[in-house]
Amino acid sequence: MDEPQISKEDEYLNSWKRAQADLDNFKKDEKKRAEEFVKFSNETLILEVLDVVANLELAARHIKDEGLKITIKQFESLLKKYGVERIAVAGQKFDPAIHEAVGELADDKDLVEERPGYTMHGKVIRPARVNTQ
Amino acid sequence: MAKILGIDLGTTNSAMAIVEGGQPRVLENKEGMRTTPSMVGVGKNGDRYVGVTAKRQAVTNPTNTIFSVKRLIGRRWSDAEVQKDKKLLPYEIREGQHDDVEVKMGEKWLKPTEISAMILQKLKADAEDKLGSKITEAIITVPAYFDDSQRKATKDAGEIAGLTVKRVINEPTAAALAYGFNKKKDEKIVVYDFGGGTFDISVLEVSEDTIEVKATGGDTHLGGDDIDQLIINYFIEEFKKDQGIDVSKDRLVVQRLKDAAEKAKHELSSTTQTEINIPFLTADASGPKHFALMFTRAKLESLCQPLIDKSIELTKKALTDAKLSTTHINEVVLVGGQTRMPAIIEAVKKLFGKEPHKDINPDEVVAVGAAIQGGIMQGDVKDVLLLDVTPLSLGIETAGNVMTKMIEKNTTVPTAKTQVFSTYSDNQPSVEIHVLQGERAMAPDNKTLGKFFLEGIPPAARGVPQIEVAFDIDANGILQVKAKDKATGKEQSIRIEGSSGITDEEKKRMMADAEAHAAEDAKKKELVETRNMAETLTYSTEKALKDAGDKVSADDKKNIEEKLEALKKLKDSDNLEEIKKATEELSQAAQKMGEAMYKAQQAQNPQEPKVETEPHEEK
Repeated sequence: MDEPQISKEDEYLNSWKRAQADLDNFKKDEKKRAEEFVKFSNETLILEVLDVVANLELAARHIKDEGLKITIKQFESLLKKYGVERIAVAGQKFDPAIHEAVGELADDKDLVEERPGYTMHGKVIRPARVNTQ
Repeated sequence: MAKILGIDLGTTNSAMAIVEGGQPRVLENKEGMRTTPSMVGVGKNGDRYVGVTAKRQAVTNPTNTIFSVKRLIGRRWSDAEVQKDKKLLPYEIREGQHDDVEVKMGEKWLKPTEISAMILQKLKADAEDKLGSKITEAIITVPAYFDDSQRKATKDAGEIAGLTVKRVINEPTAAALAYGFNKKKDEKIVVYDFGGGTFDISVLEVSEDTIEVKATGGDTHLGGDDIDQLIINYFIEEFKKDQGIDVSKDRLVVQRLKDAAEKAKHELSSTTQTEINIPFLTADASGPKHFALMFTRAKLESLCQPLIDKSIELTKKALTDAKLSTTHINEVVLVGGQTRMPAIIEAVKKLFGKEPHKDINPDEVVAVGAAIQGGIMQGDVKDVLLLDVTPLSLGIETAGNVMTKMIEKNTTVPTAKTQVFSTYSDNQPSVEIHVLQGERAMAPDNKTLGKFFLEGIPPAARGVPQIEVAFDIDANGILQVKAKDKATGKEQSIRIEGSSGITDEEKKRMMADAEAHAAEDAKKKELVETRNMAETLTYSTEKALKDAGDKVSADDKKNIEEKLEALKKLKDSDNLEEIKKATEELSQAAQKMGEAMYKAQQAQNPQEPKVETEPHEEK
């Protein structure tokens, strides 16, 4: 045989090293995953809350009430506290990484927000639905 | 070693997975999602979008956004399917030079293969990003009914994307692989795949080393999206009935109803009813109109019953084609997100008279199977080191006949665990190490594996000596138990061979036993622990009283002594509540001895009855 012989000992030693490395890497990955998990553990709840906030905003368009305005503001600062930021629409160029078109967008017109979008710790959890008037 | 990427290149969505440490793992894309829309678009500025970004710009760019290209890949222009789809697709397609299909995206005419390649390219790049290493090889899945030309075109798409396609395998075969059915010789398997846009049914037969497709069937235009549409239509009807307004032409309103429909569909898989609330859906002269509806699972099921019935009919037809009846089928596998619907699971179960397999996420099971195929080819799965687990817990007996577990059941061996114990009475000269196996809380209810004594412990107050007990199971399942007095360094050990060598029946019986007695055992254990606590408290209070001498007022002393006597009388009884009460009373009375006294006494005599301190693991 031309190929160099690998002794059983070497093979076992290598398998053992590989197993140790796998475990080590797994632990590192697990740590990262756990961190991500903690960071985004609220995501489902936040998404449900965002529906309510969107509806409150719709209500505010119909009902001019200072109390309602304050309530929405309160929600906004609460969301901010948990790393949730609103995606900018006004004056922006359409970008499907953060925006979702719900109508044909005219090039010469400003984007209008149809449903607010949000990022959480920088990740888009809900794209902003946009249209042009 | 570079990983082989398993790719489920779907009509609506795609998914990818790899095998890591012998286990499949689904990879998320750059956007953090486990599935990627199979869509490609070119914006007005010439930017190319793939996946969810393509989907988000589809409405404003319908003619340059390509989806469902899988319906066209490797097909002839003259195929009936192509002619049918031509009418349904919003983008332009034309006949190519070789009776093939070409798709217009941006200013260019492209082959469907090139579009698929763009999707594969994104998956490859995202996987590399996620893993931090290059991916050069892949397994790609295709529907079982794909012909040579469609398979070849799919393979080409992979190569264009820079992947060496090790193999193109059938989607149902991948699903069967994900469940490990390749090992089930001579079994017949039905894979029921209700996806977003297509319904596929496949009958497979597993032989020595192959999985053969016996028959396929389905409907290329039946899927979860149809169910969504039925729900939206129902909402529109209900709103019309309620408010007299037809919103079916208002795109934005329909979008909101669609969101609600998808959400409700998901919720009704786990609950029987859900409330739909969409305030300010629209408005007329009289003011804003809201949509509120109680949507039940029963209503949803009645809406989509015709679709479910159709899928069941198609399943029966495939069985007839395979010349089999439902009784011949050994396993049924569910694939596709829509199979989460309880009514579908029920219908399949009723047809075959057995529970279908649905443990693996139905959106991911095909990708997982593709990854496993890659793992098999790489030797990652076939040659995994088989590690045993301990079938039952192992432990020792501690104060009051309690079984204290050292190694929990299902721990992978080889493994070792060390814990420090102490003595139960003053000047105890030896400790007995009683090695037990089982799940019951009390020592006598478990199996004795061995016993030994560690002698020559120097006289000391209870709880002071530190006895380190070490359990070690090697790769051959041989258990070594060692006890060592940390003060003197004296040690004693026992070797128990084949500790996991109990028969399967024994194991089953012991586990069933444990389950059946769990409540009773817990009570017994609580009683023992309460007694131990009482014992420790009487001991420490007596000692403290002696130490305190006349520092305690006569009144307090009398009070404590009374309570002490009361507890002493009670502590060996079976009356859990009484013991608890007397213990509590004594504890309160004893506290009056003054905080200083109390602290001093605490420092000398830890109160833990079993006197376990600092359990720690050793490598």
